[in-house]
Amino acid sequence: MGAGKTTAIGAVSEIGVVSTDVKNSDLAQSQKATTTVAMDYGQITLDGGDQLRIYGTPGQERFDFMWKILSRGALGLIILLDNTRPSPLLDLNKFLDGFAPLIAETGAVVGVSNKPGGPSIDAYYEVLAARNMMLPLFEVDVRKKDDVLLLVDALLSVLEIR
Amino acid sequence: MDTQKNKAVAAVCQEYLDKLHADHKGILAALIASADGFHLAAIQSVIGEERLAAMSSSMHALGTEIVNEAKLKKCYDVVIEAAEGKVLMLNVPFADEDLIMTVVANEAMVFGHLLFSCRQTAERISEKLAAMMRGS
Repeated sequence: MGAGKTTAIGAVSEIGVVSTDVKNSDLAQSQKATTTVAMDYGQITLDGGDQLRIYGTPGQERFDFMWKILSRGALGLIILLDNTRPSPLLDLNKFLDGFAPLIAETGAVVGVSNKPGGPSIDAYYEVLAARNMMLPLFEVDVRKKDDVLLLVDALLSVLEIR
Repeated sequence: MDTQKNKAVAAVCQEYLDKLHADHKGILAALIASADGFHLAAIQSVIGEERLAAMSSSMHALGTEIVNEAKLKKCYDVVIEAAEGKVLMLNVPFADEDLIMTVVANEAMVFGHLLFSCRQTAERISEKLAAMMRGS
């Protein structure tokens, strides 16, 4: 929650983003004013002219049924993590578990918010190494279109070499 | 909203859900949830109330988005028709973010009757909560 999924899709989408944000009542989890409760949807056009549909899921586990729904037919997964959350390494493990079938079948990349104060990038790599999952991992600012496109390009590269 | 008010709101919702269930035995589950998917009150559930609250929030949000894009002004209800019953998700106007009332009913319930009773319950909850907030 609060990693910037809605912001990221908004940064790159060529269409107005379909958003299902409502008022956040769980201020203990996050101070964000709003939270996504169903999905975000955006589109970008790839170099070859193909259209890529991008879906953002809610991050909280109580919406994990949306993870299952949105995983169906997905090309791959981008995991976005907020480095300032209380336990971002646990968050990473949670998403690796929650999206395990999709990751096994397709591929994934990880983006970590480049905000100071949280675990080092090495700590994230250690989590991946412990699970024998050497996924591409980048520090990103999801407000920047180029950073988000980097994640998309990385995912497409991962999918190409599988 | 502070804890005291939360409890008062939950108590009002529970009172009306209990009455709705008492009046309609075909109701299998009912709850009132916040827009972001936390249940405030619930009666017996064929689905766990935490799960139903979260799913109701997602369904209602998608309904709202479709209504916005179709320029139909405001989403009131989302209706799911199933082989052996129906699910209704209704708006309950409250403060700055509406609540969601979800009712699961078996096929014995006549849809029109169910819709009327649920809308009436939602209106009464909304009026009672508004009066409560004015009084505080």
